[in-house]
Amino acid sequence: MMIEKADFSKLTVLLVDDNAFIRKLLGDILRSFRVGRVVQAEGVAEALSHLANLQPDVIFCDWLMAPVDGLSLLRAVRQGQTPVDPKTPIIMLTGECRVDRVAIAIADGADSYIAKPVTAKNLMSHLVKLIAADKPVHYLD
Amino acid sequence: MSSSSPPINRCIILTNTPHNPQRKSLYEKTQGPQAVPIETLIQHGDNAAKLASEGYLDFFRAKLPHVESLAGALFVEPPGSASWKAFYTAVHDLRSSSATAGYLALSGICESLETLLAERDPHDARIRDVIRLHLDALSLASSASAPIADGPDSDRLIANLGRAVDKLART
Repeated sequence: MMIEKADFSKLTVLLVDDNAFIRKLLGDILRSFRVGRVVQAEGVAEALSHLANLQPDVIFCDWLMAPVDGLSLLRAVRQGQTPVDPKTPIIMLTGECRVDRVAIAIADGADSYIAKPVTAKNLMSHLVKLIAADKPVHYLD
Repeated sequence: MSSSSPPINRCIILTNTPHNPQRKSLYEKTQGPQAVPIETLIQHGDNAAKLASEGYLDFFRAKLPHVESLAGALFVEPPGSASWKAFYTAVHDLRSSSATAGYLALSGICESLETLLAERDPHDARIRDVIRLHLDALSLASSASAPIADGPDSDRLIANLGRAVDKLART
């Protein structure tokens, strides 16, 4: 199904990246998409503290971060070790685009995977893919 | 259907992912009368990215001393230790942010250095000099006075760095 239009104003996005420039750039792009709320964290510890009080609609998470990598956050959410819905959509961001790395992220439950450099177009295409996949179940009573 | 068949109470018609009752689906949340064409939003995003990237060289120059200090610690600790991992992470980080900001020369130099760190023998006696060479190239390519523009000059520089990396023993 094609998604041709979207209104992101009701969405809350959590953006986790230890690179301040990437956080600013992605934050600016998401705000230009009219995302309602963009919450940023510079590492997994800060992200976990946000997740104590926040149910994001989407999480964008860098993979290679120190001292704790993004895969740890992905696993914590998927394994229900955080207060948020374990099925919260998570898109991993990374400069590593080797197939074996992608396979690890997908196997651990990433919904999607963006190899940097990130552009507005590929950010949007991953969001649209998530929207199309995250449709409600409709019942005929 | 015969009258003896059991009644069908519910029929799932869209089931590619199970609906989680704890949150509204993204589809439900993003469709409505205020929805804007995706192409328009991408244009807004491109403009925002261009504006954000204007300050990238300042960001890069501010980061470089930290990377230099990490490089200084490399030969104090054995290969594979925390300082080598921290240096690799910092270089990887600069490579991806430079590419995202559109600075291909900086990204290419970082990529060459990343290859060196990932694929060359850290015990090779020449590795320190080749790392230094890359750091000097990054400094030159990002200098305020004479930055190396993306193009033939930076391509030549990156190719020469690649040749220097090739001379080192593989891991």
